[in-house]
Amino acid sequence: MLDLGDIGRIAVALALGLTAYAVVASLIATRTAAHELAVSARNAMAGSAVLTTIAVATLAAAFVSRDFSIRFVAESSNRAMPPGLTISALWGGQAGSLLYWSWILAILSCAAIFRLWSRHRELAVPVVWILGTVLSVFLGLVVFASSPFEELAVTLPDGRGLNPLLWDSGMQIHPPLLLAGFVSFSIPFAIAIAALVTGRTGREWIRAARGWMLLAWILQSAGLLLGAWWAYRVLGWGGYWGWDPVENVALIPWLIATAYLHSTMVQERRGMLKLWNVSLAISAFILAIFGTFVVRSGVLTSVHSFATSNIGPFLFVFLGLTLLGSVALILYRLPLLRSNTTFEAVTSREAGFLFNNLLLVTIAAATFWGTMFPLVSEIFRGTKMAVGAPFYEQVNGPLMLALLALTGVGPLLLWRRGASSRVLKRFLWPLLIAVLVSVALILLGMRTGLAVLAFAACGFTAAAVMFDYGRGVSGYKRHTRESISKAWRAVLLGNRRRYGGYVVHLGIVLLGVGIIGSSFFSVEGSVSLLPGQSANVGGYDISFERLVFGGSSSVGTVDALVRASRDGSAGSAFEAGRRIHRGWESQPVSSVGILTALPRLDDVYVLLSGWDEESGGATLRVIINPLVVLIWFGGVVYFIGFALVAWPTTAARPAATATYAAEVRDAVRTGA
Amino acid sequence: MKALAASVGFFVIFLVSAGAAAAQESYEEQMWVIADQIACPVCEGQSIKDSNADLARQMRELITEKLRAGDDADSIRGFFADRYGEGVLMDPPKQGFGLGIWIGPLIFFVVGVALVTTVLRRRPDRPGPSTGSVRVVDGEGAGGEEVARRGGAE
Repeated sequence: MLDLGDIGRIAVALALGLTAYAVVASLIATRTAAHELAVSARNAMAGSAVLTTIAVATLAAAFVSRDFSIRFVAESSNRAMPPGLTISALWGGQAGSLLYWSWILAILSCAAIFRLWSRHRELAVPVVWILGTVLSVFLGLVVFASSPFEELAVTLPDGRGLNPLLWDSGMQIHPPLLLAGFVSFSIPFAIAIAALVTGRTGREWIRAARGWMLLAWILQSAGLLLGAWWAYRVLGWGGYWGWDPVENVALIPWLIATAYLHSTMVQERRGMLKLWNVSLAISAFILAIFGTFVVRSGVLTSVHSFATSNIGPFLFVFLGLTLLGSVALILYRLPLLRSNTTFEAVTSREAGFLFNNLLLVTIAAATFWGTMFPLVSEIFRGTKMAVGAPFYEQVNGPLMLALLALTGVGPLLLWRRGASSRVLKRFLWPLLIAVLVSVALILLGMRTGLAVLAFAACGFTAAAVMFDYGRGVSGYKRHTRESISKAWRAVLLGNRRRYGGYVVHLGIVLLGVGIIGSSFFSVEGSVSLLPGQSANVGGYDISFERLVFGGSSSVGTVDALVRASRDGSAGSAFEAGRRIHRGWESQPVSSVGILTALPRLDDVYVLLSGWDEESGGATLRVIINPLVVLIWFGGVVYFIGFALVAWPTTAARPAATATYAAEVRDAVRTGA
Repeated sequence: MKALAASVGFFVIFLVSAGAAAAQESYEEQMWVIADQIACPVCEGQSIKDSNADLARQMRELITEKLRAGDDADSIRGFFADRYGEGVLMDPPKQGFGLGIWIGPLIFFVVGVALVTTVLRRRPDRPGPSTGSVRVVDGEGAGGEEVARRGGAE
């Protein structure tokens, strides 16, 4: 009789076999142009997508049915965890997250291959062996090195359970999204390599890869933002981003993908930067694998050390081979990667994209350097040197500020032409807004020069984007004599790629305002209070009412009831507490109390850092975080903008050829 | 154009005046700033500002004491570096080997600027119109008027 472990093991082994077949068959098909063989390779990839799905479902079933005969299930779940949460234990450990990685890769590969098959057949066949190779490596790790289906000699009565820090709804979405983001960089990589292999280095592969890069980019964005949100609400240190190695390696591919999404517009429109774009697509993938390697290998110490392992060396070898192979291929194809045209003006739109890439890639490189420096130091001097937030703030801060300002400048520039006086006039209003913002802030008493500059840059960029959109709307009105309520919609939906991008930029500005506000003006204090006492932190009266104890057999809770107000009124009540889970007594989890105080948009962030059961007193760490709420709000705006950009064009649905023709027409006409 | 120049001028003046004024900070505020620059020796990857560990709390108290005694931030950082080793500084020292981390990003940026300059300066191999393979209609992409010409929204 087969048990769940057997089914899972058989499914992944068969998937590995099919994938290996797909690699060999498609390699032969690429050389001999044998159609049937190519089709069978494609179908084998579909087969491994089905088989990995079965494997993941089997593991999920083992978690839900509490099958503690399987080591991985026993290690990362227990009976106290609700069934829904046990599913998230699937990616809470190394073996499970590798299976999850392979599963997402198999599904995405299958989708990408079938999509390419109808539109870009010449690219599709090599894509099969490229993605197949990547998938084989990860399935190989699942089968031979780190299987989640390994069985224990004896069935345990109960499992060890997941670290209680991970018992949060954020945990159910942030890691799978981020991992899926890492995985999806494989598709643009495979398409770029296929373009190099086949010598089709023009616009075709950029078009084929665009949707996939957008997917990777948005998954990564969502993963990063949700991670920040989870850290802020659950980890309880008052911040949302700590420049921790694991955060950095997730940020780096996002930066590269952002650079790619901008610079490919130059290739699509002007036939330039071919070499650069191929390199960006390849580096994004290599850095994403590197991210997986760092997260799972434990070579860098991090607050994310939930899962460490022995698979580091394998991934490292894979990484090295991929890098070498890609560089060799690029060198071989160098003649095909020359530009068709040259830059005509330093103040043209395409040059703006070049500066955007310079800043994004420098931030990525500096972040990479900072993340790796402790290792470099250990190799050369034998001591790990800590590189913390101050380094990143001092180096990346100014670069990000310049990037934010450039976000406002870029869209006002013209393609191919330098800034004429007509273009310069467009800067008048945004600059005035920037001046107004800084004057207002100084009059309101802000005395931190850098913060004033940063807020002014936000004002400039927001104004530039909105005025340019306004110009579009009034142009439309002039032309059609429509009402304004119709015009704004028609313009927004008429060129969603451009104006949706503007909405994304506005989201980034809001995020920027939140980050600037909270990093310059956060105030914190620690207060010990008896019931009924109150204290002032950062202008807020924090009054402590009493402690409340509670809980169940598996978790003990203590909460401090707190009120906060600015104006002497009773204020709003909220609670800050601690959760002590059985089996994890040494790691009590904070239940952070957060009150977003309107209209100043301050977060009153309260942690219960100690308490005395006799007197009923509590020690509270209080942090006043201004504008943090704008980060989450900006994130929502960002996703709305993304939806505008990425929503499929309904008019172009009927036939694939018509879609393609429409896309070409569109690109020729708009390009933006 | 005059208005543009004037507004830029005002902007610069205001920024300079804003930067000139610096606020007085209390011991506690200074303490949190220094605490953010010192790694917690018993936790992984956190500063003593962010850590809830006992040792971190004691170290924070020590910083406040030293500030009261009149020590400045540099000597307090030096004190902890002597006691726990250089690795305790979140922010590597800007000298000796530690300088490497600060020079790295500078080199990346300079190399990047050099690359961008080279690319921008490149001229076509042969004279003639360099419109490339794409027919470019106008510089602006589809703004409002162009959307209108195309018949509004999709």
